[in-house]
Amino acid sequence: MRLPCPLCGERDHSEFVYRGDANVVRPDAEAPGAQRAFHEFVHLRANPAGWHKEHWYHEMGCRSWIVVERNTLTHEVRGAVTAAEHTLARRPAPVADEGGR
Amino acid sequence: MAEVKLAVRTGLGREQPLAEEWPGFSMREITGLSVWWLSVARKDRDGLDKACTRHLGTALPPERRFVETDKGMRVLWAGDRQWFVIGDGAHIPAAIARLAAVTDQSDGWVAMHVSGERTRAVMERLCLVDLDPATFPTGTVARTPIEGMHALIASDDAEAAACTILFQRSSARSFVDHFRHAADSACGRD
Amino acid sequence: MSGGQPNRLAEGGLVQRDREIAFHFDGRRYHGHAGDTLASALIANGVRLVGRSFKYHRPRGVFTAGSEEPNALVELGRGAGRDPNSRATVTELHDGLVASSQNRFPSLGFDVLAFNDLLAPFLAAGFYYKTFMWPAAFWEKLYEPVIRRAAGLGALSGKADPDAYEKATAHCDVLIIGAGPAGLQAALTAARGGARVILADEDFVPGGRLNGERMEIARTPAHEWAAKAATELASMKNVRLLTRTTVFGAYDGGTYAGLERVADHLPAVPPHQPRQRLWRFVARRAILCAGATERPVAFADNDRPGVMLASAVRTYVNRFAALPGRSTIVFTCNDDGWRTAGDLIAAGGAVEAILDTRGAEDIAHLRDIAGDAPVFTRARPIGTAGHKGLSAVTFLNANDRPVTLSADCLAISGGWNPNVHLTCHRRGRPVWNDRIAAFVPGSDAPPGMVVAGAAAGAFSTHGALAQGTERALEVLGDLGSKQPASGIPDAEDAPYAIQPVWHITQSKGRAWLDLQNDVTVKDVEVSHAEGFRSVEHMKRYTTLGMATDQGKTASVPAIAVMANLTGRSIAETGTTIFRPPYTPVAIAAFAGGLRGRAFRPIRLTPAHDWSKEQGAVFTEAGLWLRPQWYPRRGEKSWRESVDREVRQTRRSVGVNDVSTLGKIDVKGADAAAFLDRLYTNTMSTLTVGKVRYGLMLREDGFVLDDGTVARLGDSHYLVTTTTANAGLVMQHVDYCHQVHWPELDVHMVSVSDQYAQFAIAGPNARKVLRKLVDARFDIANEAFPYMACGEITVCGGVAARLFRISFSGELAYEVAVPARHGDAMIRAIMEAGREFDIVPYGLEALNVMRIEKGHPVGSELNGQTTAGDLGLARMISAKKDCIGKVMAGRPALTDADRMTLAGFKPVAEGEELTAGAHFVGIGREAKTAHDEGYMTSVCFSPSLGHFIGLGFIRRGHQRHGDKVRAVDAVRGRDIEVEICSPHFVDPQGERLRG
Repeated sequence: MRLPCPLCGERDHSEFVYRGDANVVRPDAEAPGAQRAFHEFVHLRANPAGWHKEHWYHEMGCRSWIVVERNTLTHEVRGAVTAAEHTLARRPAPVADEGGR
Repeated sequence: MAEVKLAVRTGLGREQPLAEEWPGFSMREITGLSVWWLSVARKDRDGLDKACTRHLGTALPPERRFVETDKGMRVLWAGDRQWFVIGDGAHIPAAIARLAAVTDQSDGWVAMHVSGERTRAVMERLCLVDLDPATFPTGTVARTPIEGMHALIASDDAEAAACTILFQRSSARSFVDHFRHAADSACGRD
Repeated sequence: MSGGQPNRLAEGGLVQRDREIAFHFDGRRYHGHAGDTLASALIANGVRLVGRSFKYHRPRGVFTAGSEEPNALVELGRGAGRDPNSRATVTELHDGLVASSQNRFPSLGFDVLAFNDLLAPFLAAGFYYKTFMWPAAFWEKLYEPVIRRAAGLGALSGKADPDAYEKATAHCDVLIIGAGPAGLQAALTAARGGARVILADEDFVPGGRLNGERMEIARTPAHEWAAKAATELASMKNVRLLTRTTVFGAYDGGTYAGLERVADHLPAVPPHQPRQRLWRFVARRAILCAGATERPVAFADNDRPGVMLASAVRTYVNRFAALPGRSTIVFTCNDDGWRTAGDLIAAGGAVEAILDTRGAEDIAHLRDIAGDAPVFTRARPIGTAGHKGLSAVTFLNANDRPVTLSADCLAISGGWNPNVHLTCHRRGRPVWNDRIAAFVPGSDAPPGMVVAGAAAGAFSTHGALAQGTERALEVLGDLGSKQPASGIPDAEDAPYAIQPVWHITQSKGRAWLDLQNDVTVKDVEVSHAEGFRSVEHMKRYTTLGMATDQGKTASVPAIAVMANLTGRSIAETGTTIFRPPYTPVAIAAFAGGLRGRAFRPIRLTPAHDWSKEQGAVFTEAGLWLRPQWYPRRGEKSWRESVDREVRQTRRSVGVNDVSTLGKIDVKGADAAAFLDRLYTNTMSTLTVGKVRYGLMLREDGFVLDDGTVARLGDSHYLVTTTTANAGLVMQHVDYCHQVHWPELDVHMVSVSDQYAQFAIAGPNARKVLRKLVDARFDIANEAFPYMACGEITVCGGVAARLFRISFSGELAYEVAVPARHGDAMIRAIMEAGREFDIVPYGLEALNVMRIEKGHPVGSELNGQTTAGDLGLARMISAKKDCIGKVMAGRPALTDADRMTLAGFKPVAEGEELTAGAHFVGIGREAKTAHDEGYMTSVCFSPSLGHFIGLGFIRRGHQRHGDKVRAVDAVRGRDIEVEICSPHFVDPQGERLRG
């Protein structure tokens, strides 16, 4: 399988480490019900048959975490962005402190 | 006290740099280099670019590219908002260190120069990326593994297939052994 | 005929008659020519018997002329390099080739296990599910060993593979699989269009069927056209032509795997060359030109030596000038089989008869080919005779009367099967095509792959050339390359006329489908009767298609038989799933150069050479080689060395190479805040010039790793990790930063290899250090107290870092210098320590000392333990969140009854402890329900003079003084131990702070 690192270009999958669903968001530790939210965050996954956005780590390349869109049935891969970009894009409000404080 | 002078060994743990030849292929350890890792926050990227232009003589190269300055330094892209600055022992100017995280990596990496008409044949036994001049022209840099070990490959002269390769010091001997086997197979041995 | 090779034709063929080659088969010496395969040379020498079948040990001969061969499996070579199950049909003849037949005892001619054939009624499909059932105990002791000895084909040498193998990666625009007419034409077209082309063929001569047929292309003999095309391709800079290379698998993302037989055809592997090379091809497009494989027809006793595929017979005649039989009968249900008759006659061979299942009207246009040979229409073979080789064939003629004719060769053509395999390697399915009575590629081939020629069901030479050209032009268009001027050379375009026949039902007796696994039509009927009716069940139940030929000549007839039994169409019945590899690949080829010591990279510290000079005994810690101990002359055991190292370090001073620990440099305005989120305790309160021990949890609340954090500047930290977890922690910190908090201004890079680091420990550690640290740095106890750190210089100006941390529990420092000075540094330390009898100590002594102090390491941080279990609950700050904090608060992880860290010592004097022992109450039965915990680390403590251990036991921290049993079922030990504090030596930590 070949994965399209957004920074390095298309590379063999052996350069990467797989982690899993990139749609899960680390819950707020202070919010009520945090323990259940964290349990779901750590242990529960949707495991879809079909398109999946997932985290891969380009460990043997640029060491970026990336979000790959892969079809779990056909292994078709239709794109990737850096995880940082993915996280920042999902933040609800404009991120006032983007790029550091 | 402390009159003892600490002797220096090369990255491969040798007293003299390694230099080996095959028909059509040679590999040569490069010593005396300084390797600095630069990493910059998004907000300071443009500022760093200007500082490099002023103090190093070049703007930061884009992804997968490296540039040489007229002072013989090389700035190589190394990751998301990261670069390696390779020189002959010079330190990074303070103006740059104010804007970017600067970390010495001179001893963590070994540098090797490979060249010869059989270089591509040797590299295809080791490397997963396409080093054809059309896809990897002169000035390209890639971070990619060789036999499971981190490596950074920079194309010095794509037509002549001359490259500079950086690899980790602790596994350097294993790294070089794989090159020897690949060269034996690709070039034959006298 | 050539003298010495009775069946070698005087003229013709592509073998090099001026190069004679001597070889051995089953101990006898024969001659052949360069260009022969082992099979063709055996045929030329009149050798008909080449093997004994798998189950029934029936005599068998060469069946095909290609990699689909089911019968002619031989053992090649001698000694360690013995290669079983090699197909004689694709083995190139070379000087000194030594081959033996397999699966027979004592000899091919007289095989005692042929007795199995008489037991056939009891050995049908699935017999081992029904027999050998009783008594149950006999299965393991008697039945299985006996069956194992009788089963199997060839035997391995049992020795390590003596040859080298290699892997390589090649990128291209177009990968063309197969160099027959379609492949050669596609390659020429694509290459002339400027594309980067890789053309691979499994044969040693490109050309595919063109080398085995008596045909013309552009009015030249087809094999000459092929040779010319290959020469042109080999001369083009943008073409890589690989022969002897099987593309055996299609994988994701346009990657394909190929096996190149670099040296198998040579008497010996040339020095420094690999025997075989495994290719990873990365191709933007691929054109599958894999051709087609002929299939037989099943009827009683259709497996005798001399029964062959019709196309194979003419390949031996046309390409190898070897005559498989003096008197050949051709049996066919299609036009193509007649070519064999024509080629035999043209070569001066005798055709005894042509049997065609079709009617006179269907074959009228072919009659001329037969010459004088009699032609029988509506002919159906029902039996053969000849034990060690065919002697006669009996068939039903158009009037349904049996006729028997003498023959020593029967050439069968049941039709052709396109080699669709690679189109199905990613779960694709072929589709049945009634017009050609064959499976053709479906529409779900791997993305980027197209098919041309016989592999797509276009069986004529023109069809192959035309499709090769068309697919290549399409691919060039896809790639945006220029379209070259291209014409399609003239070639025959005979229609493929077939009336498929699968099994002559009138024949009585066993009709073979899978020759290699000895599976007959009757076995498929049994499978159906037992309810195993899907093709996947039929395959596993009968083992049809599971041998090394993967049923290439068996599957389709078997599918047809099963379809008939179930009353479904062949299309509905379908095929089993095709998986790589297309033909067998040695495991060593997948390993390539990653074998033995080179299996994984070896990581060496900068002091490695010095340690080796000292005679250190090394151990593997992950990828690292670490000294375990440094034996002195005269020491008789490792214990002696280790005890000495511990005593000397605690008495005076020792030095340990700690370069392998993970070191991460952390910088940035948000570095402190970031570290607070990673560690359970607070790092932002650490002052510059101080070090703090830190604990990292996994998000599920269990301990991930421990280490230290040193603050070297306002925004500059140095994090250490355990050796084993360095990579994992780096991955973790990158993940936390890039995924959770990309807005934080923090920059991390590994500096594990950048520094050589040495721990100097013992009461005289400071004195040794004073001789190395440049004078202007004050390392007195007050100036540089326990847990201080700083950037210094040593040995006259060498930049270094000093950390006053202690794993051993003694007064200790760790000094880090750039790795280039590592070797010199250890020597300088040893020299400086000489007056104090400094001793180098290894991992074992380090381990002893940390156990004496109760410090946890990987044995205790085993992924199932919490901070609380380790007695470190107070390290989790209440004031802030961190990774793992919320989940660490789960009720089960804070339960008072959890197993917590404690120390253990034997009750009886002199008793040894073992790690892995489980704790059970005294007087209670040693079973899981009574398990209270387990021992994680043990050692002999030279400081105390007895064994000590660390482990986890329920409420261990509250039970100091209690006695329990340590039960080690693996080593058969059961002793009483006392629970105590894990801090055995200097529990107050006074030595640390001196």
